[in-house]
Amino acid sequence: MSGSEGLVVEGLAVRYGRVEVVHGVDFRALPGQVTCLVGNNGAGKTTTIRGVLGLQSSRARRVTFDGHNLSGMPPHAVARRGIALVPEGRRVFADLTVLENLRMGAVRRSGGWRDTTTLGEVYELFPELSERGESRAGLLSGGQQQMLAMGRAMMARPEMLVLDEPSMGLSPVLVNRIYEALVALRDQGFTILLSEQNANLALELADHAYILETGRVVEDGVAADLADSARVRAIYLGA
Amino acid sequence: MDTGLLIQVILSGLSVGAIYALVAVGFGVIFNATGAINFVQGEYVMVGGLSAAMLYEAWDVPVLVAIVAAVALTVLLGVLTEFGLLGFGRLRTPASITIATIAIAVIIKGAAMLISDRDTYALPSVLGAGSLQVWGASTSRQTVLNLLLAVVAVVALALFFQRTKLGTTLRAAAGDSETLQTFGVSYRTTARWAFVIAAALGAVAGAGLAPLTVMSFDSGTLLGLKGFAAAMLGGLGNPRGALAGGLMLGIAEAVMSGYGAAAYADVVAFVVLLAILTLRPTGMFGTAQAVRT
Repeated sequence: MSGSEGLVVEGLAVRYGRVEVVHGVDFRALPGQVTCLVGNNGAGKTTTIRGVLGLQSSRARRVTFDGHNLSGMPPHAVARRGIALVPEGRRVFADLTVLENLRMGAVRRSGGWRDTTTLGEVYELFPELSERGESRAGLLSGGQQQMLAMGRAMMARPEMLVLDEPSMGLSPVLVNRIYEALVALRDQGFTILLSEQNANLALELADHAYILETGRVVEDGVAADLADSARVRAIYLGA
Repeated sequence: MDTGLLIQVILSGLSVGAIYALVAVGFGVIFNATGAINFVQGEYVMVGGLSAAMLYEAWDVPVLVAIVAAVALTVLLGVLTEFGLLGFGRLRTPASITIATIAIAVIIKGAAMLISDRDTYALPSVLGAGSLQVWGASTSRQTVLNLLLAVVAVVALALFFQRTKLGTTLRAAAGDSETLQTFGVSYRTTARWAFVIAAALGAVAGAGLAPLTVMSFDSGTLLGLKGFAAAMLGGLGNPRGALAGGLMLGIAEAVMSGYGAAAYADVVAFVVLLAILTLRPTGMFGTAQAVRT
């Protein structure tokens, strides 16, 4: 079983300095499924993800990915276990070209630097990027940068894709575009962990969802069932 | 106006300025990788120049072999510097790393003092002692070689950063090292390469400087500060700016020596540094950047 149990997080606590902002979160992201962390701004979604990926120091009873311990590991070691992040705010390498950004996603993979197969898959999913391969990433629009951040993560050929607020700051048209791409990735069998404030879209896409409030999981269940819950409606209304 | 003297002054300024430029580029490479100012940079120049000269004078090693060995030794010192700064996992902020580089610089200088027994050493030019006539001014062959060296180093480095996988990775690290880590590249790896490049640049500068002057254990400190002034002048982290900053600083010093008071030549760098920090803190070719804290 240990080869394919996906991500298991138990009792994750993350602090910024002396202030604990995530208080013992439990969740799982099963292989081949889309798991979503839903919550308002400040609920601790990003902090939870940063804690799991080693970007923020954290304590946990257990953080494992396919049976391998991740707790206390530095971010580059977590990445080498096959987890790729599409970070909050996209964080493309602004001074690098689009193509260079995509190659950086594959920088640790043997032959990744010259991998045109995966590059072709990225360009197929996001034709906008193929037209702008030599442009500096910093000059792209927000939507194009989001696509680039997703393509960069795909280039790592990860076991699991982690997307932190992929719809943040994008127009409704672009949000739909990004979610169409996520559906395509889900249908290709990618394991996806998603954090999202935009609950409606996320719950439509996800198999299982966890609702976060002030650093705790307050409810979880099959995504379709949660869509009607009072808590989710409160998040949607921004209450 | 005596054009011979003017050309002489400019040539000597360019040859010293080329050394400053190499030091300045080293500051930029490490700043890009770690966000810190590496005050060991001047000591790399000292170690490169002094060890080459000592190998030649004390051990009769051929000049070129001595230079290659000195560069290798200095690169090793660069790797050790990175380990000393980041190997223990205690220093996390650019400010604390910067302070620690001062300590390491003092240690290296002290060790060099003990090993060299405070003696000075000289290294002949690989091109021999002959002089060249340029527009009526006479200059040493080494002067021209240093200028070539600095230009070649900056062009080679620019190509390396643009064309190679490692160079691109270092540029990505300069932009957002945290995000780079989430693609499996450790901070230590990029930092170590930056120190290797910076130390190699320093050693080449030292080997270029040694034939123009004599080297001793304390040749590095002032050079480091002047290289830092040149880096600030050109904009930290920008290799072409560093080249321009170094050459301009060299010429400014030479003008002070040739037409003003030679005793005050060393002051020029610090007046320039002060003026830049006050008037244009991003350097002449730098652009201001928002920093998220």
